[in-house]
Amino acid sequence: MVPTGYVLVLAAVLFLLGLVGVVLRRNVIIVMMSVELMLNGVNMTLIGFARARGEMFGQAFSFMIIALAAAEAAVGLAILVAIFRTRRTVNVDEISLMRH
Amino acid sequence: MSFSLNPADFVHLAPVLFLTVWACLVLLASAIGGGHGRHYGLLAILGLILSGLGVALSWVQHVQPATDLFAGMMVVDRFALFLDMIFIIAGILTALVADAYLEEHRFTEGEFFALLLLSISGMMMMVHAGDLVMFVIGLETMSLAIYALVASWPGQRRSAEAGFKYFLMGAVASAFLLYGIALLYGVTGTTNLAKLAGVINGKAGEPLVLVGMFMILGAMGFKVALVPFHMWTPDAYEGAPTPVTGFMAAAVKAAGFGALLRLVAGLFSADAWTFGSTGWINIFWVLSVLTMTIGNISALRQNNVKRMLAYSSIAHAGYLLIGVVVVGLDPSQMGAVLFYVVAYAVTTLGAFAVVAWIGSRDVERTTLEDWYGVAKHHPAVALAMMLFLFSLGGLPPTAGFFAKFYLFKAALSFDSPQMLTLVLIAIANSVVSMYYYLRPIVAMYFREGASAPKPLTSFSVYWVLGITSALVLILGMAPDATLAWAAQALMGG
Amino acid sequence: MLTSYLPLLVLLIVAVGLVGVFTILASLLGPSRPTPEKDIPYESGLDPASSPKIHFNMQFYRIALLFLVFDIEAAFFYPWAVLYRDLSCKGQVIGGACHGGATAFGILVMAVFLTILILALTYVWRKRALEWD
Repeated sequence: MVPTGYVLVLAAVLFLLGLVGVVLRRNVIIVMMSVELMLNGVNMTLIGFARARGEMFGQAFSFMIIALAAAEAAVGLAILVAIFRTRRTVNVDEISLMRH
Repeated sequence: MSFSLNPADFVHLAPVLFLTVWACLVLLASAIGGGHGRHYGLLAILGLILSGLGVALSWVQHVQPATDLFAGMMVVDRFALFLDMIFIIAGILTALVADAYLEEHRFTEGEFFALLLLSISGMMMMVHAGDLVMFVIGLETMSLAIYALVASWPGQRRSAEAGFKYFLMGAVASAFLLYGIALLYGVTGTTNLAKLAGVINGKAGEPLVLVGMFMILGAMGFKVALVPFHMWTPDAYEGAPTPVTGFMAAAVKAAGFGALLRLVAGLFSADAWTFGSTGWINIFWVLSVLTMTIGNISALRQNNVKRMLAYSSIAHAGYLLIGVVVVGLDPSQMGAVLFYVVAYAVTTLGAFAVVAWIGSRDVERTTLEDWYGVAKHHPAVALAMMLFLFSLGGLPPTAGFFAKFYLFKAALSFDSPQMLTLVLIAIANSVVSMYYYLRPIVAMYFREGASAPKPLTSFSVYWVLGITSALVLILGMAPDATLAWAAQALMGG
Repeated sequence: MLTSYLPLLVLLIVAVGLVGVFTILASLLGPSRPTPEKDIPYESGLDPASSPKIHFNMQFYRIALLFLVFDIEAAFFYPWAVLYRDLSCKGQVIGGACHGGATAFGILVMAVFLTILILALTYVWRKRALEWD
């Protein structure tokens, strides 16, 4: 059996990769994918812990997170479509009309 | 293995469930019926009133708290019921303002009101949560609806972009929150707040617990706009349709603080909640000082009233954090904090209602120059706005004065130098904040306007202005009744 | 055990460091004279025929959005289906057979879930989001 520590480290790496993607990538579609990656890191953490504890709760929770991620992505895409209607860009940097 | 649900649990949570179902019905009605948005506003208000009656009934009949609904997932206590009532009243006032505002700016879809109801049901779930899972579901229900509401102004580039910014940062914050919860679950094996409170003290030093709690705290800080996590606030508040801004500043903030108070009782528990040691209270103390100071200083140089009120709401989050610190030390001081939440929510809703009132189609009129000479043409509204600004600044005879008075009194009841410093910093901040609260008043009363504003004429806005200014005065002159209710609203009470 | 990875770490640091140093040196020392011709993407020596950025039809995003939601909802069917036998049994399930009477709980739970989904679908349908144009 793979030790739980490995699962957790992999999950943490996924989470961090997602975070780096959110911070560095400019394309909003890719930024949203990075957020999904972060959530998948969370899922993997939960599943790793659930397996280590020999219970199902963590897995059930990860189902909730999958649904939540989908709802989040749907709202994000919908807002993106609204932005598209006013201008044609998918770059995060260009979505910054308001400056101090 | 057998599964069952206790029917009594549904009765306990009837107001929340009813509101959720009602929101779906409003949504469906708007899709099938089409037509004019005004009816949906009334429909939403009707649903809110019915749900509010349920909450009131629950409050009156309340014998003892129900803490084990749906296997500990949800809790019904007076603390949650009190906050429910704040959300519902904020929702009704917002729906009234939105009714006129949407009409003027020509986007009269029923979805707006359905989303409003959904976000309120999310807030109610959040403050009723007895388990971190339920807490996350409530938080997300609220947040997703609010993201959509911020971006709901069709054809307005600013609205969509503000919504997307808010969404993106909110999504990252949620990811952090969930990761923190996952780590806590890994160490303690539970996500139930009551069980966590028992377990977490013994494990307070473990790195995974620390990291997890920091992540949860950061995410909550984002939701209520505490200072290192406040960057989204001015943009989202400015870009959103004004009734939504008012709703965010009042209800979302109240919900965030309600949840934060519950987390402080459950997670950042009282045993570790002392000054001097490495307790969490020090972190909250620093956050409080930073939030109020930076919020106020940033507000000083704003010429845009909407943006200024956004920074002012950050500053008020700082004052409210004093309340969190106080409740962490002594849960029986909840009354002062909840009174502050009520006073702040009512005042903010009124102030943003004025901001919504003054704009006309395609012209939002949010800069100070746009407010020149308002008092000459519309003396009543100018007077109401003056009341709201005085209340935000904490001058008598308004709600804000007693809110600050009771909060600071509660903080000073602990004989500790840290508390005294905190209160002194808060008082200094209040004095500074008067400068920018006075600027719109000066603009309205002592400046000549180039053109008279063409404000909303709909009756519903005047209703809101009347109700909120009356409440601000009542809370400012006879705070006793509300304070007594707030004092009853204890967690687990 | 971890020390056996040390050479790898050194290699990593040297590799990243060298690349970094050369990049910085190049940008500091090298002349920079950008012309419009230099900025066009390299397409085997030919002038680019069109912008490499393709604008996807907006409809794709809408379909993706709907697919996303309804696809994920299906994820909830699996745990429900696996547990269905337990969910619809009042007593104990022994050897695949229910002892102690049946209950409609399992069906009811899914009925509530499906009702919400169907409400959402009705909304989508009435809003004409299922039509391509």
